[in-house]
This record gives sequence, C-alpha cells and structure tokens, in this order.
Amino acid sequence: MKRYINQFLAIFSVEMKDLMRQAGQFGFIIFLPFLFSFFTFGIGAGISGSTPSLEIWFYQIIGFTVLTISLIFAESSAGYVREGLLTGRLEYLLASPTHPLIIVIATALFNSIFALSIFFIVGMIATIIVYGVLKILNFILSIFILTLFLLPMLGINLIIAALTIIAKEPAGIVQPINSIIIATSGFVYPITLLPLFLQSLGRSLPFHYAVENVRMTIIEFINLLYLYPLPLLLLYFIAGIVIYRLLEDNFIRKRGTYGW
Amino acid sequence: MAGNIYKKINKIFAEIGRGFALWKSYKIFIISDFISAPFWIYFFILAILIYAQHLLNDKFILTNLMWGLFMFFFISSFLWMGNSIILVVQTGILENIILTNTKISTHLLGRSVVSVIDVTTGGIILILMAYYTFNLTLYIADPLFFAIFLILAFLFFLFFSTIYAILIIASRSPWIITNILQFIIPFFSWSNTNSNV
Repeated sequence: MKRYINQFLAIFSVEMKDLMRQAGQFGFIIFLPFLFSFFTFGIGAGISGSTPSLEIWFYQIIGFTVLTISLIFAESSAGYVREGLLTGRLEYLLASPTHPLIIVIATALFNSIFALSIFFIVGMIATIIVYGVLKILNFILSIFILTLFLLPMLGINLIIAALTIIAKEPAGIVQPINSIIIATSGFVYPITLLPLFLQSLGRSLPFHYAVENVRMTIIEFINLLYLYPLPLLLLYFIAGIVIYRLLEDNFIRKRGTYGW
Repeated sequence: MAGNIYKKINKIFAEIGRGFALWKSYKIFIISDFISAPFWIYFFILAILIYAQHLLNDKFILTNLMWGLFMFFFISSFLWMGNSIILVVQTGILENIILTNTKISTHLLGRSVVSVIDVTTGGIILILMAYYTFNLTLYIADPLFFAIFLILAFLFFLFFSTIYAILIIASRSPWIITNILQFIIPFFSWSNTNSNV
C-alpha cells in the first residue's frame, strides 16, 4: 500500500511542479470564461440593440467555466499519454512497477483540484458581480455538486485515453468528441434550442446534468430531484475503467508495448 | 536575374508541395474537421443568439452571422498558421531555412495550404449547414469580386501571420496569445455582427 501511495505522490508532485512552471497557463484558463462570455455578450448586445441581462451573462460564464473544466477533464489523460509517448516517459513509467491506474488516478486528482480551483475563482467573481454575497453559500454548495459530476466525466476521460493509446494522435479523436460535448450539453444555451436528436445526445452525457445542477444550485438551491441521473451517470465511470483496461490489455497483447 | 526568379518560384512550389504533403499526412484531422465543424457552427450561433432568441428566425441576422463565422474560421486558421512557427523553431528547421536564405513568409506559404483547405472545408460545411438547418441561402452577389477579395484577404493574412509569427517566436506560451487573438480580432472587426444594426 505504501508503495502505491509513494507512486501516487511522485506523479502528483511532478504534475504540480509542471503547473508551477506554467503559471500563465492557469491565468489564461481563468481568463477564458470571461473572454468567451464577454465576447457573446458584446455580439448579443450588438444584435439585439439593447444591453442584455446580466442573468444571461451569469448563465453563460458558469456554462463556459464548466465547459473549460469538462474539456480539461476529457483530454487530460489523453494528453498525458500523448506527451508520454512523445518524450518516451510513458515507456519508462510502464516498465517501472508503477500501476497504470495509479498514473490515471494521480493525474485525474491533480486535474480535479486544478478544475475546481478554476471554478472557485471564476464562479465566485461572477456570483458576487450578479447576485452579491447573498448567494455565496449556494455557490460553495455548487462546488460539491460539481465534484460529484467529475466522476462520470472521469469515465469519459479514461475512454479517450484508451483510444489515444491505439490511435496515438489524441487531437484527431479529442476534437470531434469535444465539439459534440460542447454543442449538445447546453453549457451556454438551453439544449431545447437544438434539434431533438442532438438534445437526446446531450441528455445521454454527464456534462449537461453537471452544468444544469451547478447553475440551479447557485441561482435557486440544491434540488435532489434534479440529481436523479447521477447514480446512472456513475455507470460512465465504471464503463471508463472497464473499457480502458480492455483496450490497454488488448493493445499490449498485440504490440507487446505501448505506442510505436 | 532570371535564375534568381527561377529559384524563388522553385522555393514557392517546394513549399506548396510541402503544404499538401503536410495536409495529407494528417488524414485523421480531415475526418475530424468534417465531424467537428457543424457542431462548432451550432455552438457559436446559439451561444450568441441566446441574447436575442426571437432572431433565430431572422434570415438577415442569421446570414450575417454565418458570414461572420466564415471570417472567424479564416482569421483563426491563419493565426494558427503563424503559431506553427513555434514547431519549426522547436524542431530546428528554422536554422536551416535561414541558412538557405529563404524568407519566413515563403516558408509559411507551405503551411498556408493547410489553412486554405481548412477554410474551404469550413466554408462548404457552413453553406450546407445554413441551407439544411437554418433554411438560409448564402449567395454570392458578385463571384468575381468575391474571388478577388478572397485572394487579397489571403495575401493580407499571409503577411500578417508572418509578422505575428516573428512577434511570438520568443514567447513561452504562444498558444495563449493565439487563442485570445482569434476571438478579439473578429470581434473588433465587427465580422460577427452587422455594423448597420
């Protein structure tokens, strides 16, 4: 057990050091939801000819933040695999007695902390701007709701990581998956504006429920009725682990090694 | 003199050839672009029109937004072309380019092939999406002028991206600047809205 904890801490600390070296990246990701929401706010104002409501801006900035977090989460392990393949680090990691799932868990936990920090900073600023300090408790509660929904997202992350091991080029796989997630999950607009088949696609993924529950918790309060899909969505997490193990084992059996 | 011109033309054709080879070597991106583009179009249109949902049936506004998106694809694609200089530096290719007395703009011409193909693909998908999902017909009033202005825009962005590439060459995280500029430039160019509105 101690060995696994040490492996976990080693990977986690490497990720932390990597982040510290690129503080600008963290700043940019925090800035991104503001950039996007002001961008649509400005064009929306230009088109409608009046100053749009701040509630819609809030709806969008929370949506853009959860969207950014989802994207980081969806491709984090795939990016790790790709970087590991390019630099040869993955070969060494897998040749060492490090358990592959320890690698995934350590990077996922690091990404969870990273994602929740982004949400905390952006969400706190946006909540105070629009609703004042009155909704701060609701906002803090929404962080816990988001944490719950990170688990099914992790399942999707594992599936993408496994596909990356096979296809070797994550961008080609991640880009279409991301575009489907972004367009159909209703991050920045109600999914009812989409055609029915795209609505169904959005409703079958965990991202829609994550963003809706987070927004609802801040604006109104936690509603257990809306958390009903969570146990079902946890199937994504289980499916992610199973598919990852299957594809990884199958690939190693065929090729004898990872990557090229 | 004639030999000099011949050399330059030769370099340009070599770069164009390299661009096509580059594009063909990433087949997965071609498929990925075809799948992603319609979803991105939906996303951008609805993210903007949430502020004025009654305009979802306004053909004038939607047509302008579609052309705005085309310009966004155009600007974004060429900014990423400028950003590609970083890979050229990292792989040590830039040293050889300088040694062969080739201009950076000539070298970027190769990468511009990928950008032009990307913009064309995006444009075709945009026209199809406009017609089949938003019931719009994006027509070109004067195809000759359209072609002339596209060529001018291509030349402008080729040189603009060259200047941009030189400016970001020493930057530690140039992708951050590119990501921001790809939204800021179209926004301040009024390419997503109609200035008469």
